[in-house]
Amino acid sequence: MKPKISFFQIVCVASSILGLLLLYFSALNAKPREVSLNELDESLVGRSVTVRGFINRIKFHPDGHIFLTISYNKTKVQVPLFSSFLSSAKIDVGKIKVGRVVVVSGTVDLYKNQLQIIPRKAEDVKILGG
Amino acid sequence: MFFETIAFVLLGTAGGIILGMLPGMHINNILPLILAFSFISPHSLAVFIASLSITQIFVGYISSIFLGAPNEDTSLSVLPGHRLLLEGRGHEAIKLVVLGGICSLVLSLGIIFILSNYFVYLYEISRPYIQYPILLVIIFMILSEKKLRKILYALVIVLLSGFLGIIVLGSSLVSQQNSMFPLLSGFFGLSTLIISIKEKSKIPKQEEDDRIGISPLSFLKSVLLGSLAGVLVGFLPAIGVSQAAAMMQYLGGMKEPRNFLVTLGSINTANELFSLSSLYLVGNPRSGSSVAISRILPELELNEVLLLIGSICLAGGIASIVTVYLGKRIPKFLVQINYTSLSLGVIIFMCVMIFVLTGLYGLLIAFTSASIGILCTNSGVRRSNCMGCLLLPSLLFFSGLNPLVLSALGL
Repeated sequence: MKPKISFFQIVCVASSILGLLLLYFSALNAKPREVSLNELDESLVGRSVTVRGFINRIKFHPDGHIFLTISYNKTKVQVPLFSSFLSSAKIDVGKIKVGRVVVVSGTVDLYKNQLQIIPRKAEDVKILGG
Repeated sequence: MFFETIAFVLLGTAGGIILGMLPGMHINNILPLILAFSFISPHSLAVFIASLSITQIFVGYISSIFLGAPNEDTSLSVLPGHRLLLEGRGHEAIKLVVLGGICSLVLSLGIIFILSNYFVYLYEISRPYIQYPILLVIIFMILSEKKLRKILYALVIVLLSGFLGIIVLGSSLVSQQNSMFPLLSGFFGLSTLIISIKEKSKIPKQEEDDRIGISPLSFLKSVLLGSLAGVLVGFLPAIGVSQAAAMMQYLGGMKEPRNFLVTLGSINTANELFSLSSLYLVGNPRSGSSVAISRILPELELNEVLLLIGSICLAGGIASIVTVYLGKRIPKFLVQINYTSLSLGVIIFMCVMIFVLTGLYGLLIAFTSASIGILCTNSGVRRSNCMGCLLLPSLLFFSGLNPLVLSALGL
């Protein structure tokens, strides 16, 4: 016997796919908000932002993670680059040097009472130069 | 100090009862408001948050099981709870989650005490391998449908919900803090309510007896597994209560509704207790309420942890009595009213809350996840396949494929 597909099922499939497509194309166009480092505060936790600053400090973790501190006008923020991110995003670690300007997009997170920005993909970290 | 603490435990419990009764509401939604009360002493405010948090978990099962309107922690209780409600055993469903929760309160304290010295080590050794149990759960979830047609449907549901989860969690459409609310409300809450309206469901007369249809051995197994899972997932990043419950459902053989309700009650309580303890043990807050407490009491000391655990135990005890009492009274009221109108009212309330907290995109997320949830029921496959929305993004995160997939999708 052929399994019956009801009208209701077709409507559900159509609305699921329509919703997914609408969300996908909205997400493609939803650019992270550009904020200056001194505008960054706890109200932005969970939001996607883009910030620009100088690499102030680089800390290499034995497990392959790199923790950047970026600063602008005395305001500092942490940018953790986890080893899994570094390997799959294929970031040129040699370019990461103290004093270089970096533009980072990512989710604002609060870790041990300190704000940090967690990038998710290769294009989220752009090292511009000295 | 003692009377002040008791007063704030009672205030937190009262607040938790109100919050738990509001469909879909979670403590995370009101934490910014609570933190604004900076004129209250830090200890009292922390006690208030801990008491409110545990109480809203217990009382939240009422709106989740009776109204089909869950919050982040109770989403998976809707289906087994609703099934028992429609069998006239709604009060039993409430008693099962509450008993599971209260027994786990004691058991998880013991587990945390025994494992406290090994948490950092456990974290280190398990971190590189977490993707494997997640993958195993996804495969189990799909294959457990047994028939080929259902397996294919389940695969489609897991992929659709997984894709939705990747979009929601990987983009800036809605604040990550509230992203779970529209997603899980749609999959488990709104879809259940819409089906209830479509099928013109009526709540049958509820049975009055106090019988619990689970053997003591089965109950103990469920509490033990739930407590262990609640504590263990507490220190794994990106794994939450819902993923833990889904994993237990398949890997722990907790598919029977009564066992699953006990397990879910245990996981929630154990996780709440562990989130607080992990602040002291590893300095890492694991839930919205523990993040708030870490901001009020940045250098948490042992006596403060004991104060908060004591508050949770007291509030949990009161909350369990209140929940069981309400669980007996409310179905009597529900059988007298038009369930379709009630469901419609709850749908409107949840949509308004979703709009207020997450805007138009939140409504679109809820609409999409509700469609997938209804498709699941219509296709005759388990709704827990919708947990693909969290399991697939977690799998990508732990296997290190997240940046690649997000780049490929252009997100």
